Amino acid sequence: MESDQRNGLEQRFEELARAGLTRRQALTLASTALGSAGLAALLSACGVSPAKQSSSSLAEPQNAVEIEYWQYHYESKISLVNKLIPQFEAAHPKIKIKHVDYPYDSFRQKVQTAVQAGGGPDVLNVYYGWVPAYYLADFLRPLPEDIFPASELKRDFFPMVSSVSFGGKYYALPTAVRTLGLFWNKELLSAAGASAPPATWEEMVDVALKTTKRTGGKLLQAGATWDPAGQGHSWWRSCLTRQNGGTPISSDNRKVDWTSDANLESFAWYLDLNRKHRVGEQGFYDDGANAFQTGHAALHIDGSYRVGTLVAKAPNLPWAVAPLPHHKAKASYASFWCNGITRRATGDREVAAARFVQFLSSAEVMKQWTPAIGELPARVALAKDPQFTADPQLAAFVAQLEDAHADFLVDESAERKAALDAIDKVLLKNADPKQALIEAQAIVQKQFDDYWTQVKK
Amino acid sequence: MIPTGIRLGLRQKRWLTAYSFLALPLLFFLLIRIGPALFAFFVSVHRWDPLAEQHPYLGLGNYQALLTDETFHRALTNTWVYVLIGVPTGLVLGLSVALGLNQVKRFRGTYRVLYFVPYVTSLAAVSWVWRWLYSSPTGLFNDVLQALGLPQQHFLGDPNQAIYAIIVTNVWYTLGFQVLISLTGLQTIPEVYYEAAAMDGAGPWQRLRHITFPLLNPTLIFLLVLGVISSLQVFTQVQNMSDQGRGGPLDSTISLVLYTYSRGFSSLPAELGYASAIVVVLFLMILVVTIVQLRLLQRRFEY
Repeated sequence: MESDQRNGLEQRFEELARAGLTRRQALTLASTALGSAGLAALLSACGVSPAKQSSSSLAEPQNAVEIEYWQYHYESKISLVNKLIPQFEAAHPKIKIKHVDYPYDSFRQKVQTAVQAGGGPDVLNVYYGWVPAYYLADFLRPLPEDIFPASELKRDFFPMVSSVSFGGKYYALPTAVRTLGLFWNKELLSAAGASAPPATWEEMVDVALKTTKRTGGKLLQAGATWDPAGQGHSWWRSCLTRQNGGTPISSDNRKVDWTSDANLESFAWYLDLNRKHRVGEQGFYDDGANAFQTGHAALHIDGSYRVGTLVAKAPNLPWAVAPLPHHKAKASYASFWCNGITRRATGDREVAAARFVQFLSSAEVMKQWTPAIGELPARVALAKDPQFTADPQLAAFVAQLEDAHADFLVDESAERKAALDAIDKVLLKNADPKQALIEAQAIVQKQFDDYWTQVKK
Repeated sequence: MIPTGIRLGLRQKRWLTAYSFLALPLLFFLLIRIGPALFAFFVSVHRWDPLAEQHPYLGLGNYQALLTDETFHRALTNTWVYVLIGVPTGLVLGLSVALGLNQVKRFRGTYRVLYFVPYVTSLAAVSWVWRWLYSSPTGLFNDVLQALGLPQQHFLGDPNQAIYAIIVTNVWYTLGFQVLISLTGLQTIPEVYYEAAAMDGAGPWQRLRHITFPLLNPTLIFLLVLGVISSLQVFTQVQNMSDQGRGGPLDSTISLVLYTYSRGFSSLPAELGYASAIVVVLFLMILVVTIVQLRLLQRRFEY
């Protein structure tokens, strides 16, 4: 009831605005109207959850309001956001932002606990793969259409961002995105007689074989890191399969396909790096990133965020980065953290939250974000800026943005487990690859089916 | 203060004092331990996403799902492997070391400290050190194998070895505790019994069998019950020693508590209802096992 009333008022407000009222007049009118609507709602106490309704058509909150912004602890992000908040508050004097952070490992638990206890954030920094679950729980509100017109978002942001939209409505927006790239060690490659990074699957195998070193069967130097639990599983499912002409997931995000011929071939090619070519091993120098960082691996697939780590921790490593080796087509994997408005933000808090999300996704913030964090701008126009396309460390990642997919995830950790178990079954238990993929696909498809059944309810 | 008019005897006063002191911890236990534990029964019959406003009632749906959940079955089996292999191994080793130390007269304190040091170390740190020792191909154990000309092993990366590798770490970690408690138990046995038995011609084995074991029985039961309960709840080691804390490879090391955690907190949406159902099963298991252990073993408490 409350929401119906508000929608009616919104419409009237829009009509009035179209009829030529000044912004100030319209605002006063709307605030009076909304105020009485709020009172009416309070009196009738109908208690309808407004979670999926957007109620803000106001430019700024009516009263001074403090909202909470929660993100996980990532040193460079925390310090940058601490610098950004004063910029935002200067432009929006009625809004105060309380910046809260928790370690990544306990971040989701903290959010869950706080929400159960009646607290929690107004604006939440959330991994794109968590958005479907938060949408299902009605925990995130759709971004208000008046501040975030869907058509504009679709036009201005990279296509992968649509993976956080449901029924045409966006539930979160990123500041930056990350793609996968091929990190290569210049010294190890030139020592093996390769002057350029591999551009195709065949070249990759060739270079990896040349740069692998063993004594008495024991691996001393990996030609290519073998790290399925790192980015390997995403590289295989999202990139290799698409590069081979397959589609791992249907365009409506309802059906997964891990067992097509294209997927079987890409799976086999990926496994061969370990079982046939033996260019890398599980746990070699703990994980792939560490093996590459310490100079024990020639090629390594990883995300753009690794750039910052390498700059800071391996200043003497002669590394460079190239687009992923391609096959029949080009494809990369993308992922991103984004900011959404939670159920907790109502009234003024929602308006304030929307303004803050808008600010965090603005071009001015992105320009500060990419140099400080190493993630790529989420706006198409900005990513074409020579500042980024000419940057030797970022160029390869930026170049792949157009071909990058952020695949829809229901339960990220369960899906990753299914993928890793399929790999383990083949490598450790000599299972038939097709059978392993059939089992994995069944697990993930069941998640998808359960999810969409619940969404319909 | 006791109001005048009500006259309490010394006995009642003592009771009152005792109960008022006991009330605080009791209240704490009720609110922090027992309350939430009972709440878990309630949660276990719902679909419970902590972020959702509604928690639909499922009846025994979660328990029904457990019946066909292969990972749950795997976790159940693994947990019993941790108990049935880990606990006896630990007890036997702990008692052996304690018997040895009981003979040692010099530096006994030093030895005791050395054996006890692992137990006061953070279990997560211990797990990571062992994880690196086991690491393949770059860990110390594989270096030793290579030096001896033996084939390389995957240890934690091999679904057939991983759980035993973790049990070894467990036994090593709890050895100090077992030794300390066993040693204390041994030292309460009066020396005169042994002297009398020796005079009657009892050999070392007979003395061990007829004097040490019966008199050490309460100590051993204590260690057994604690060992079984802590093994049924094994979590930290598995989470830290398996890749990404998943209890792998291929669920070969996953324990009931780790599985509870992964369904209740790592999965999306978080399934606290399902996790609670697993916890209820674990609770019932521990209850039954403990009752059986106490009943069976307490019978021999005769001196």
